[in-house]
Amino acid sequence: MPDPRSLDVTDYVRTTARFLELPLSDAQVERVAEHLARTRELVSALRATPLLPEDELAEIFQPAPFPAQDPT
Amino acid sequence: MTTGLEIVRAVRRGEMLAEEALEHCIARIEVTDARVNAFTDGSFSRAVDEARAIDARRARGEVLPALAGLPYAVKNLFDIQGLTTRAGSTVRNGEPAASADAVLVQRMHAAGAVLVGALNMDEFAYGFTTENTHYGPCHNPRDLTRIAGGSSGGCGAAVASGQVPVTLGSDTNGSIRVPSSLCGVWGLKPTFGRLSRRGTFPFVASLDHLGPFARCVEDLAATYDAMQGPDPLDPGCHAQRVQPALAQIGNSLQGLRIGVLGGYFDDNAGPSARKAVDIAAHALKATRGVAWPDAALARVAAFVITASEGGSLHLPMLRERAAEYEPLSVDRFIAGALQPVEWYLRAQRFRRIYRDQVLRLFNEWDVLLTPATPVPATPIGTEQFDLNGRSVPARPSMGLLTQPISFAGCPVVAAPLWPDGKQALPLGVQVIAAPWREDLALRVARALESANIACSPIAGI
Repeated sequence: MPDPRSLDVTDYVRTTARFLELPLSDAQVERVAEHLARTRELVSALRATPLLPEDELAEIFQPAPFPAQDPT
Repeated sequence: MTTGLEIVRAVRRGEMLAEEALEHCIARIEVTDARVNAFTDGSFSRAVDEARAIDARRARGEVLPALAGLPYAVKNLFDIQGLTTRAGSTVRNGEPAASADAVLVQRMHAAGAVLVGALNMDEFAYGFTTENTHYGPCHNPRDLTRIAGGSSGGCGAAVASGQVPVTLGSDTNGSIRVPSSLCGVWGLKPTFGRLSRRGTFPFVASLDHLGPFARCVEDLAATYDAMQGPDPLDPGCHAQRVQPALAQIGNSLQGLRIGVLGGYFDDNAGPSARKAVDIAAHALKATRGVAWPDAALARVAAFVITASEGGSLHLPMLRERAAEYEPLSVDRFIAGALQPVEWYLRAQRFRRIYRDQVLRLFNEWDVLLTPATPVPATPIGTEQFDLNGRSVPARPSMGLLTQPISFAGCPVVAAPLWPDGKQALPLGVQVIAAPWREDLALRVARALESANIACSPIAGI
């Protein structure tokens, strides 16, 4: 009986790869799912870390440098 | 071979021709590289032209630039005019040759350095071992059966084996510091945004750094200084001006607050790594047990960002030619391309909080120490190693101690220590400073070198 958690990762890999037009063999799907399942375990700590709405991305788009002088 | 700046001084005084220094390097490469496999490309014809140009300038009585006659080589992801930038891959073999040198190669050329060739690496920089399936593994000159580290393995190996005194590599999660540690050479990962990356093949734009390797701190600082300068065309280059470091490396350490990282960094350091940092800490009278914030989370976030950005970058090529990618990393690239965007966004949001925590730590400390790798170089092909009673996957675990530091963008000098004796394997110590304070890290590194605590002799191969 396959582990249900690995089964849903395998389904996710297969579906997402198809959506992204990335052809994968069954063997590749299994290997990639193993990687992604391991990453999901690692990420659980990051997902549990509280982030406030004002905790924005590290790099924020800047339309232009802030002017060095005010316009006259 | 002498150090890089000894060559420069000898050329300047007329005691040696730049072309003679180059011939020494080429001879050393020819004798050793069949065993080391550091080089993927030689640019010997260009190097001869550059060396002769330096000799001609001296003959005309011109004042020579800072690195005149210094032979060096670059990781295979720097553009070299006239060569295809393969970045350790074969899928890029049919790409057009670079039409110009990378910015840092241009700056090295302007400083009078002589480019000898390009160096082996993990394919597309995704690895810590340089076990490159296409071009063969890079062998560690300290023990040819072992890995050189990666992804800039050729950079560490070329310097350790005395093929060239200086190399340039890249570091996204540890790719300068890991090979420095395992090969027993000096490495500098500057502040994120210090040096222009334009003209290099990217891996993870949010995390990529470039920097030098050398066998002494003076060469490291001189090369770093020569490469500095703003670059408005690299959106990741945040430096506004040059801040030279070489002139300050001999300054006293008096008043510097030096600490040793505990917690996560001690837990993930094996016996040799702990011994290496103990030796450095004792020499520097450093305070033990400093807590670095959220190191484990930072590693996870760095892992997620690396996978997402790397996978996204390669997705178009993976659709067509995944079978030609490095078998050791292709599945990780694909997995990264499929990661949920929520993971990536959380990792980037966490990074901002993390940066603020790290900056606060540097209100209390000037320089912090921790090992660069958990263990010394492992045999080529190792799948798992023991880390304090735990069996861990060998390839990703070499970056356990470097990833949290680069994620904060701090400058780091990897100092080559010999915790188990000079006849045994080396292991590096990271000398970490606050962003934009490379001068402090280099000053402490120079003190370790002056005390003969850290050194990089040429490997006896």
